[in-house]
Amino acid sequence: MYLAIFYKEWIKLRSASLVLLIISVLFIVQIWLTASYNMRINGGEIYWYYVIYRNDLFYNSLFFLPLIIGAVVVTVQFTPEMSADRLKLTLHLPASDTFILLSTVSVGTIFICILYFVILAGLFLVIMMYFPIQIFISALLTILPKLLAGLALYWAGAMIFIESNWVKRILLTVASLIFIQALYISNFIEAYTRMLPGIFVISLVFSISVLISGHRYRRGAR
Amino acid sequence: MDSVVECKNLTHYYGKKLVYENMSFNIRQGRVFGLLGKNGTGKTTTINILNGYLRPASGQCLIFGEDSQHITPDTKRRIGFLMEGHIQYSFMNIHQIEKFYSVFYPRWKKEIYYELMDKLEVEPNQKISTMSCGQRSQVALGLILAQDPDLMILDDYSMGLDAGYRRLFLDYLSEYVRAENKTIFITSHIIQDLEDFVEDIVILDYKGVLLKSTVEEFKKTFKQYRFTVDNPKNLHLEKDEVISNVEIIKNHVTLYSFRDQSEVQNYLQMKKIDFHDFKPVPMSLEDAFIGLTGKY
Repeated sequence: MYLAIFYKEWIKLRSASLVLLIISVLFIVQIWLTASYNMRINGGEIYWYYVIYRNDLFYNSLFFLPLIIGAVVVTVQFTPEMSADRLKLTLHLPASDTFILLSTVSVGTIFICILYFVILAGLFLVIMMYFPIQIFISALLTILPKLLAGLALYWAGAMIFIESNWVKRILLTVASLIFIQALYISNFIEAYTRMLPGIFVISLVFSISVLISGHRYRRGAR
Repeated sequence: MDSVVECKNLTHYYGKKLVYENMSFNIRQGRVFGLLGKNGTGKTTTINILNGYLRPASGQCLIFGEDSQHITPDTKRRIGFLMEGHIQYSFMNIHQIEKFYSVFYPRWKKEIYYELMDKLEVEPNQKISTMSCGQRSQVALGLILAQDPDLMILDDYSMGLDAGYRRLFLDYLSEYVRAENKTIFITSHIIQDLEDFVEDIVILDYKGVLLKSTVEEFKKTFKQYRFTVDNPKNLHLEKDEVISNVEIIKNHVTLYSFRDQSEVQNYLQMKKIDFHDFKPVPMSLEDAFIGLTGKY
């Protein structure tokens, strides 16, 4: 059954995923070109100085990419479900509502994680061309909160799409935006490292909260 | 015969507006049950309650003995559900959607689905969203028939369909019911199509249940009479225990009643109404429905 749900979500997501993949690769190419340009024009010593001592975040163009990915994936997946109340068809499938909802959200999560993997792999390759592994680890710790923000946006978006009460929808949107915005307050290098476990746990809460909206939808709450 | 659906004392409100109060009905196995009513009388509300998408203010529905608010996956597998407007996953094509649904239903009958699809002039990779309303209705019907459910819940199957597609839809359904002893719960706003299809009916009005009966019994007992009066301005006829509905156009009166001819004539005489040319007029199911519920 999970494979069938995966198949349905794959049909929805495949075109958008390809576009997001191309965009992600273009972002990585842009970072590579920038790094390559700086190495050639400024020279290795100067560029290393800027990156290592002045904390130049040459990969900061990636910061908002996870939000774009989260927003696109959740919209592509849940707009067809919610238009014309198509979610009723999905919840009528002979499986438990919890299984159906979590399966649906897990497919989106898998797609996002694959895109994240491509981004991080590309960033790893670019960084390893010019810098030691420590710079990649530092970049990873800096970018991780933004990646979690993208996932939180996706999970919160799923919950908001399914929520059938407009007041609750607005409140959930505000609460989600406050959390996501908090992850963008500082763009300083490794600014959120000590808070990462907490951010991870709060993001995970968003992932299962889709069940609350789903069960409210099932009961006909308006 | 066992009850497939049993609704007891259903009461529901939208805000403060009462939809119906203490509505009860049973659907027996192998029967075709029609829930009839004008727009906004609570047909889709009832279907939402039956499928567990809406919790009634009070009362309960049992489907195959299970509370409709907590239907198990095994019971969901026995129920085919057609949404109003033949809604399906319109981002899929006919092959993708068949492949998707077939996984969930062990008794899946691929042949019956493709038999219906062969009648449609659609491209194999054409998305459902680009099909006509009639074609979409056939896809939705094909999917439900392929599930081989014991109970079909069909919410306004006729919406947006021309006469040909409506006929095709009912022809397939009739074949299915008779061959397999299946149960159908159907709502429609086109009553004339259901006359030879539906066996048991509940008619809803804006105030609740107007009638619970079989179609045969309803058509046998509910009568239309026409007569003329000389002075319609002095005529004061209203709904009561004898008159179910009355229409007066100039000096022609159409009266609907569950009473027989002599009783109605005695009643009019008792009311000192001077009437002529009193005659019963045969009715179709649609005539009887309009007679009972009124034109407005």
